[in-house]
Amino acid sequence: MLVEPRGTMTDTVTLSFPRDTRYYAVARLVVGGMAAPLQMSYDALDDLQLALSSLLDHEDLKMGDEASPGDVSLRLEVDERQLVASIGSFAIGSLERAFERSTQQGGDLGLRRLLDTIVDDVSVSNDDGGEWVTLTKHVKALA
Amino acid sequence: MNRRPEDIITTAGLDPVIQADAEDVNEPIRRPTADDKVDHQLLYAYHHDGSMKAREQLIELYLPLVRSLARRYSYRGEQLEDLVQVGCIGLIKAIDRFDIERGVELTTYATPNIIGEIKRHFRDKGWAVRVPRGLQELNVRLSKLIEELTVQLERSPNIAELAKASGATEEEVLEALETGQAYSSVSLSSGPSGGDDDGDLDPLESLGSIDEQYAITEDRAVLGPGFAALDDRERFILHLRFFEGLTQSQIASRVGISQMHVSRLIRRSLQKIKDEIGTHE
Repeated sequence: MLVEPRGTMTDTVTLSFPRDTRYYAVARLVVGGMAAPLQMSYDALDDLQLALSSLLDHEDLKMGDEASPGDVSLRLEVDERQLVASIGSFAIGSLERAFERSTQQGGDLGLRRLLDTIVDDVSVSNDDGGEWVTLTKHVKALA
Repeated sequence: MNRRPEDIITTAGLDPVIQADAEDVNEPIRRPTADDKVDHQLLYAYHHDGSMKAREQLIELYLPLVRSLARRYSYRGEQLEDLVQVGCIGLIKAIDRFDIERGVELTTYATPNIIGEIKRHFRDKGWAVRVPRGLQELNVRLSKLIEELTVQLERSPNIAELAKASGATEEEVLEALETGQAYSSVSLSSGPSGGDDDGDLDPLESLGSIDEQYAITEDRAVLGPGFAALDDRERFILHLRFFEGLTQSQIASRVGISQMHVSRLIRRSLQKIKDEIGTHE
C-alpha cells in the first residue's frame, strides 16, 4: 500500500543514486510512488517523469565537479497540493550552459522550454557547492 | 513497372523456349478492366500510371490483413496499435516493390513483408526480455484503460483509478507504466536516420492525407536543426505539446492514437532530436 500524504504537512523522501541509466527507472518509480497518493493524473505524472529523465539524460549537465562527479540526489517533497522534485547537485554554471546550448541546437525546443511546458514551475538554486533544479508539479483538483 | 516502348526488345532469332519466355516477359501489361479484381486495377493505376491515390486505396484495402497479422503477435505484450503501424510499413514496401508483371497476388507478396517488418520490430527494439509477461500484459491493458477512463472521466485518470479498473495494485500499475517507458518502440516510420536497413524514404510521409494533417511548416520553431530527424507526425506532436501546450490526452484525441502512445512518441522524438544534434557535433 502506498503512503498517504499527511494533510498539509510536507513529507520528504531523498534518493541518491549513480548517474547511470540503469537507475533512472528506480528514480521514476519513486516519483510515481510519491505522486500516486496525491491523486496526480497519469498525464501529470508522465510529464514529471519526462522532466526528470530529460535532466538526467542531458549530457551537458555534469554532477558535482569534474574531479569528483558524485551521485545524483533526488529530493521529493509532497503535500496535498503539489510534488516538488529537486535534482542535483550539478556543476556550477552547467545548468545555464545546458539551457543555452540546447536552445541553440534544438531550435526553440531547448531544455528550458521543455521543462517550462511540462511542469508548473522550474527554478535553479545554488546549494552546498552545486546547482539544483527544482521542478514543481501541482495537483489539479479532480473534476 | 512502367514500360516504355524502347524497353521492349526483339525476340527474333532466340531459342523457341527462351523466345516463348521472352515473349511472355515482353508482352505489354494488359490494362485491367472493371471485371478484374479491384487490387489489380489499383496496382496497375499506381505502378503504370503513377496514381498515388491508388496507392492510398491499396493501403486501405489491405489494412485488415495487416491488422489480422499484427493480432497474431500482440499477445507478446506489444500494443496492437503499434504493431499495426509497423505492419503498415511492410505493406507499403510490398505495394511499392510489387511487380505487376509477375502475376502473383498482392496478398501472397505482402504477407511475408508485413510479418517480416513485425518480426524485425521485435528483434530490434521490442520488449526487453527481462520484462515479465504479466507486466507487459498489464501495460497493454493500462493503455486501453487510460483511453477509456479519459473519455469516461473527461480527464486523465490517476494511479488509484487505474489500479481499481485493472484489478492491480497501485505499485503494479506504476511498475507496468514504467515498463512502457523503458521500452523503446522502433521508429514506426524509420527513414534513413531511423535505422531502416534499406534506407527507404519514410512511407508514412508520402501519404498525402497525413502530410496535410501534419502541415506545420510555417512554424519555424519546429524547423530547428534537430527536427530534421523527425517525421511529420512526430514534429506535429511536439508542436502540439510544446508550442500549443496541449496535454497528452488532448493530443491523443486529436491525432487519434492512445495517450500512452503519445507519451512514447514524445520521448522517442526528443531522443531523435538529441541523436541528430549529436551527429552534427
